Order: sequence, then C-alpha cells, then structure tokens
Amino acid sequence: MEQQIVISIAKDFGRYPAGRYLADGPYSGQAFREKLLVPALNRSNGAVCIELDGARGLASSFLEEAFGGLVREGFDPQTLLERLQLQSDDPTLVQEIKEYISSQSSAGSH
Amino acid sequence: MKYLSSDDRERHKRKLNRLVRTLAKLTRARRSHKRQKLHDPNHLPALRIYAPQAIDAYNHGRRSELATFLAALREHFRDTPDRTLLIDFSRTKQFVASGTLLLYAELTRLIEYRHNSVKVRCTAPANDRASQVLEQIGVYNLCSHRSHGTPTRHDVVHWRVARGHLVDNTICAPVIEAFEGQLATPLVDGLLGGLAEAMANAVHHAYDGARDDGLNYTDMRDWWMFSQKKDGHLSVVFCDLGIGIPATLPIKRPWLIKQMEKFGLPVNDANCIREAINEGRSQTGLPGRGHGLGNIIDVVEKVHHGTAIVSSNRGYYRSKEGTASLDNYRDSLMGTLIYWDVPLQEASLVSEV
Repeated sequence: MEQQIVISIAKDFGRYPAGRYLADGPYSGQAFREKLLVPALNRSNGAVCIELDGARGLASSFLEEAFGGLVREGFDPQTLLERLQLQSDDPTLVQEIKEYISSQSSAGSH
Repeated sequence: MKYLSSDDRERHKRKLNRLVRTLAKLTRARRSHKRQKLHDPNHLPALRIYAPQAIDAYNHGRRSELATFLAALREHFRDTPDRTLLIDFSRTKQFVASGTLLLYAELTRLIEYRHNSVKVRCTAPANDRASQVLEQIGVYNLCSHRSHGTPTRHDVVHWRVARGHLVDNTICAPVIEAFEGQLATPLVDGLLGGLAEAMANAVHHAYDGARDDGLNYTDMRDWWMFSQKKDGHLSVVFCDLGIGIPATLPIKRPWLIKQMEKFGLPVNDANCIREAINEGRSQTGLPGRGHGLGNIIDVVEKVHHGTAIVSSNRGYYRSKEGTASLDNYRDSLMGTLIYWDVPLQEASLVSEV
C-alpha cells in the first residue's frame, strides 16, 4: 500500500502564500507548485493530501497558478481531481481550487 | 556648600570664556553664511507649496484641492529640482486615511524620482493631531524635519505604513494580525487575501505603461499600505501609482470595453472599475471567493457596517454592506486606491464573512 503524501501549505511552504509567479515574491503559486506539488505528484501515483488551513489570505492568483498551473504543465485534470485531497474548513476554497483544475481561468484581473 | 579654590575658580572662568567665544564665533559664521546666501546670485530661496486644510481623496471638493497640491509637488520635482521645496502644512488640520496614503506614496515616489537630490523641508501643522500624524507615518522624516517626539494621541499611535514591490503578505500580515482578537478569523484571512490580490494587481498590471503625470518615470513599481484604528473601526488602505484600472482594461480585458459599448454603457472610469470587479466576481461564482478585484470587494460583503472602495483615476466603486454605488470625480488620482473599513469588536461576533 502506498503511503499518502501530506503537504501543509502553512507548515511546509509559508504561512502567507501570495502572488502568482516566482518573480512576484518568495511565496508565490509557481514556487509552491514547483517546489512541493509537482515533486509530490511525481513521487508516486497515490493520493496527495493538501492541508489548506493555517495558510492566511489565500488569494485567487496564488491558487490558480499553483493548481491551475499543474494542468498547464501537462497533468491530466481528471487524474489531479482524483489524486489531490484538498483539506479545509472552508468548502468554497476547495471548490475554487477544483474549478481552477477543471477549467483554467485567465490570469490577472486589473 | 563646597568652596572652590582660587585655581579651580580661574579654571572654570577660563572654560566659560572659551565657551562664550566659541558661541560668538558660531553666531558670526551663521550670520555671515546667511548674508552670503542672500547676496549669492545662484542661491534661490525655497519654493513654498501649501498643503490643503484636509488631505482627503474621497470628498469631491477636498479631492480637487489634494489633486492640485500633488500636481504642484510633481511640477516642482520635474521643473525646479535645484530649488528647495518647502511643504507648508501650517493650514492642514485633517488627515483622512486614503488621502494621507496617497500623499505619502507620491512624496516617496518623487523623492526617489530625483534620487534624493531635491531638498524637501516642511513646516509643521498648527494642529497637534495633524502634526502627530506626520510624525507617526514618517513624513517629517522624509522632509528632514526635526522630530516632535513620539506621538501620544490614541487616534494617531495606531497608524501604520508599509511599502513593497513584491506580492508578499509577510509585510502586511503583522499589521492586520495585530487586530486578531477584534476581528473574526475569516475577516483577517479575507483582508490578507484582498491585500494579496491588490499587490498582485499592482505588480502585474498597474505599471504596464508610463503614468500620465509628465515625469516619464517608470523605474518604480511599488505599492503602499496604510492602516488606521479609529472610532472602533479598522481602515486599511492600499495604493499604487500606476496607470490605473481604466487604462489597463482596454489592454488586458478588451472584451469588457466591447461589452460596455454593446450595452450602451459610457466607457468612463467608474464603469471600467465596475466591469473589472464584476468579471472577477463571476469567474469563481462562489460566495466570498471572487477573483482579482472581485475578491477585494467580496472581503466585506457580509460584514455589518463594512465598506470597500476601489478608486482608480477618476472613478470609484463602493460596496457598503453588499450595496454598490459608483461615480466619477472631476480629478484623477493617477493611480489606484483600495480601501476597506471594518468594525472592530463587533466584527468578532460575525461568524461568517
């Protein structure tokens, strides 16, 4: 039986994740995807549990780049939805991430 | 009582005389320097610019005065950088959060535009509170004005300013988290999320062109944040000095302009802001989880007595307890200003934001 990988955004990455690209700042969505998400997904074919609670001010630009960016990197959306176990007390947060995976939204907003 | 010996008395006398002579010398040198300056054909007296009575970006009349004042500051840095600038705050009685942040941001930008080469001085406001505000937020420091001591007024000591050029909430978080016990946890998260969106907008879009201020200065891509606790409310203001949402919309979201034209909506600044916000809100379709500017407004949507305002160039969009209003001012901010106002204590009773 494969051991489940657990990633806590707050503990393993940063308590204040924000921004989209690496150039945006130290705790961007791209940094989270490249440093933690992609290696975890490539390590095995099992589930990857993402703990969202504890991280503060999770904004759409971070979430879209971190999770929507996986699809742009070539991961299959359906497989991602099956493998990623998103944990949060806020169900809208989980739903928002799932939507970024199933249908990529355009970046930016100004 | 101790009596000095005659030797000690003489020594003290000599010391005192030396001090008197040094003081007289310094005074003579100072007077001579002043005379030289007066007769020096190259010396130009400081150019005095009066600050308005109220530094306010939201009241129509006061906003015009603020815009005129800021334009005069820009003109000085652009056209007469070799003259000392004297900002005269003697008539200023009131600093409103949004206008104050705008002034602070504009001043720091201008000083850096001329690489700190322009001498900036100021005269203090006669009003004690106004003077303490300038001390607290660092305007006196920017103007090399002597410190008036640590502010003591309870309605001033909680003013905080932050500045950055990255999307990095570690800068803003301590300011917001300081009110953790007085704000509901989702509201703290919401404000931090709103700030993250505002920073992302500033970094990604606001500085995509030259600001229409005649300076052609594009090196700075900063944002500024300001927080204030007053009358049981927490106000958080964020600003960038970029080209503004109405200028970025045709480049980044041209379909929104076409949509406005299609429905016969005037393509003015306020409508551009509304379209940008509404698009962000419709993208996720989730309550309280808008996208971009939509996220910024959603922060306060369910907060009793909560207000969010997005102002950019001439337009503004205000959401108060879920009710929206918008309009255009006569004068442009030349940038984007985002404002949240949430009640403290009462907010902690709100379980869902």
